[in-house]
Amino acid sequence: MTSSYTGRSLLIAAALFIGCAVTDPAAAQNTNDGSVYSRFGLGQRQTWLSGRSQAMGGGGLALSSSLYANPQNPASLSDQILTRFSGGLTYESITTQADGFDAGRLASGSLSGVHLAFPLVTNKLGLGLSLAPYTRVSYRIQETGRVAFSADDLDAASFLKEFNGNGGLYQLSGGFGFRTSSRLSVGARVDMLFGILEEARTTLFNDARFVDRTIRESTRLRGAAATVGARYSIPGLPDEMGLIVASTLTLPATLRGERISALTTSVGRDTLGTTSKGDVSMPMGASLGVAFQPTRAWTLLADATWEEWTAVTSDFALPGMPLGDTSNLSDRIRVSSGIEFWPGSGRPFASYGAMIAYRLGVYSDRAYASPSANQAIRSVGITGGLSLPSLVPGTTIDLNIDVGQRGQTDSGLVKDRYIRFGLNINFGERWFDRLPLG
Amino acid sequence: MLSAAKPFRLVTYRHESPPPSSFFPMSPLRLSMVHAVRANTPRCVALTLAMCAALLTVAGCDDPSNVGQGLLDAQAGDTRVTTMIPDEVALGDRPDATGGNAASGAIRALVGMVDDPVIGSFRSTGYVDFVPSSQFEASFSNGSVTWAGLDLNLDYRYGDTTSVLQFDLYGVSESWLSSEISADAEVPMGSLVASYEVPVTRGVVTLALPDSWVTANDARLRSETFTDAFHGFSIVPTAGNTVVGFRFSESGLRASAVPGDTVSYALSKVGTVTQRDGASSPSDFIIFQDGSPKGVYVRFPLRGGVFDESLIHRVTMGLTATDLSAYYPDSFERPLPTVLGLEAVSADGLTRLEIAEVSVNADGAFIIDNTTLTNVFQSANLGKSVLDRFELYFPVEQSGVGFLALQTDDSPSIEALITATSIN
Repeated sequence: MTSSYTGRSLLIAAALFIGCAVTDPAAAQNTNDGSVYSRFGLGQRQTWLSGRSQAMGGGGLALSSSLYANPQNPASLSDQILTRFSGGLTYESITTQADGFDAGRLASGSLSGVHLAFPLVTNKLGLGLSLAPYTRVSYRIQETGRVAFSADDLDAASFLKEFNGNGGLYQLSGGFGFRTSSRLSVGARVDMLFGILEEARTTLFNDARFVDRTIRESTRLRGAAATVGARYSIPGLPDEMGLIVASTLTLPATLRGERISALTTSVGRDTLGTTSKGDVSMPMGASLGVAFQPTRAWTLLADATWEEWTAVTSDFALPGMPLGDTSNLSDRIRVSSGIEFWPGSGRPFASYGAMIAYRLGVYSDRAYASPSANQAIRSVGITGGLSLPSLVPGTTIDLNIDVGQRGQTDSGLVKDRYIRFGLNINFGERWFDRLPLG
Repeated sequence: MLSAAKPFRLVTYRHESPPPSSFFPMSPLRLSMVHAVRANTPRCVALTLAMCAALLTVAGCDDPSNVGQGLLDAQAGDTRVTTMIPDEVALGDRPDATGGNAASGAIRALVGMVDDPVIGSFRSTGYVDFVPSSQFEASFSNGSVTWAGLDLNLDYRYGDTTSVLQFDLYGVSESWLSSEISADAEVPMGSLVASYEVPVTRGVVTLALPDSWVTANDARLRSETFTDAFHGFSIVPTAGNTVVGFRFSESGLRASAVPGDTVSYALSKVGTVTQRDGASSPSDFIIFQDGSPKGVYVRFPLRGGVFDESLIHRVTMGLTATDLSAYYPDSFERPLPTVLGLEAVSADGLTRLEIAEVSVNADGAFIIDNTTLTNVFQSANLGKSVLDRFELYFPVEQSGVGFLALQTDDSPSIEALITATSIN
């Protein structure tokens, strides 16, 4: 009774904490201190499978473990033994550079994601719920200027123009995984995509004769998508060796949306025009992952994801995506690879150091949206992390780091060098079981 | 004795139970025991982690610099200053307010007629009314008025200052409110009292009222109900080339009774009605005249493709009248208006927003520059305003007949300097 009470209390506390952080998607990502590339399209695409995969290049579609739920591939939900809750937060620091400008430094924290998975039939049928950012808009750029009222510039005024955006789309998923045989699992997932994209442009004058104004545009989108997945364990390998391949297919979807524009001054806010409604289509996507385990202590991953953003249409003009013009869009391609070394795997009485899992990974990600056509924005990065076992069985704390760069300084673009620190908490506990003595 | 070569670690458990050995799944019973022993530990860990996580979430530092401007310029409107001229400047139906009393409104009544070298002939009819300056003495009330006269303090001249002004003095047959008097008002006139001719020199002019009028109004002049019973005079010009103004101070009506003293009646309210004869205005100008039945309205092309939807930060509207002094002889005194006002008005005229009243500056221009004007432009630009046009007016306190000639051709007299950032 005490055990159950304590564990659930922790779970509820963690859920409440993270839930509070994401109650308002726009507010949860309201720091405006991310990459300028998040301005374009629907925002910067986010990927978070789990604390484990985050340290291994961000892939892990084929990962299967009783210690981590893998909601990205619904087929993996069949592996549940414990009810599992995971959540993570990321702190990101970006140094951004462009030719002809001083470097800027931005830093912000955001939610990586949360998920809850539990077995209906242990190691056979499992369900999972997850909430994670799908895209993120978070940027702030300032520029200064002057307006002159006469040729002699005597009556000139300086102004500061600030562009900022925040918000993004969230993905709330519910899915199930079913083990059809000892080697094959299949699953399906429904994703609710929702969120608000907010863009604002403010012109500020340090002069009482001028009225500072902000034009703010909020686009609220919501819709559903479906994903199916499968995972297959290759037979015929020696003992302790495993090879798993997995794949998912996300079907195209349509988000319904409405856009409101407002003019804001220091004395009030005035809605402009009427609320416009429209649709934004979401791309089909496919992912393929391989996980190879030569021994119990080593796990190697390779993943590739493709999303057909060039087929996306929008009834709303979006930054870098004028109406009817998708020339700035590319199909998103993400490839990653990772390795995990867990010396204490399968050794319940190993030392604490041996029970720590050590992870490394690399990835490359071609963004789906770019400020200009024919200039794809690529991110490359190296990831690493530790999984620290806690004194509570089934619970780990995963610390991750991700160092990478995005974009380039050529052709008027911007290069972001970023470092991300991730903190993930992974609880596991039996639920829904009657205690043997109860 | 402990072995010195063997370091040890002190581990304390609250109950006699084995330490957890693995984070692999255990049996439910085993889990319960471990949790019972370690109940406080995960709480502390979770609390610490939650605090760290909260810190991460709210933490943010920035030095945004200007990096990224290059990616925005093509999509962000420039902030610039645009000079906009009105697409319509015309005479409207707004008559100038010309009535006033000692506390507010017009400060003088205007009388006279002028053949202006630029705008042609116009004539002004003045209205004056009086109230007793103090309560009547019994000797006056019980006496008989033997003399009455008007003192009019002439302090304003427009026109030929060498001429004389001839006018007829009429009674006013009905009560009138000064606040309702405008340049095109109709005030019912009574019978002719007398005709006068006065030089147009500044100072107090005394006009003796005819005995017949005195006799006829003896009782009314001595009555306690004089204010209600007497409605004033209408001063109608008949000849001359000057409009003069009689102001409140030092103007009044006096009456002497026998036996008794002379009693004074202070000028209590004034009004002026002005008519222009014919359409002799020069075609290149819009004539914006003080005390005129026609006001001027202005429309700017704030929508419809001429000016994109924009964030408007400042609007400075300037009005510079054309200098016409060359058209006038030296003897022609022509005081120009020195204050004008601007209102934003809805199409039906029912909604009015006063924007500003400004004085002419050292350069001879009227400059209106305030946030009300800016906000009116902003609302109109975004199609969020019921206001349809701007109306120019002369504040009623100005009380003159001078005018501003507004050029409408290539060098328009009115323009707006707009500081704006385009939205799209």
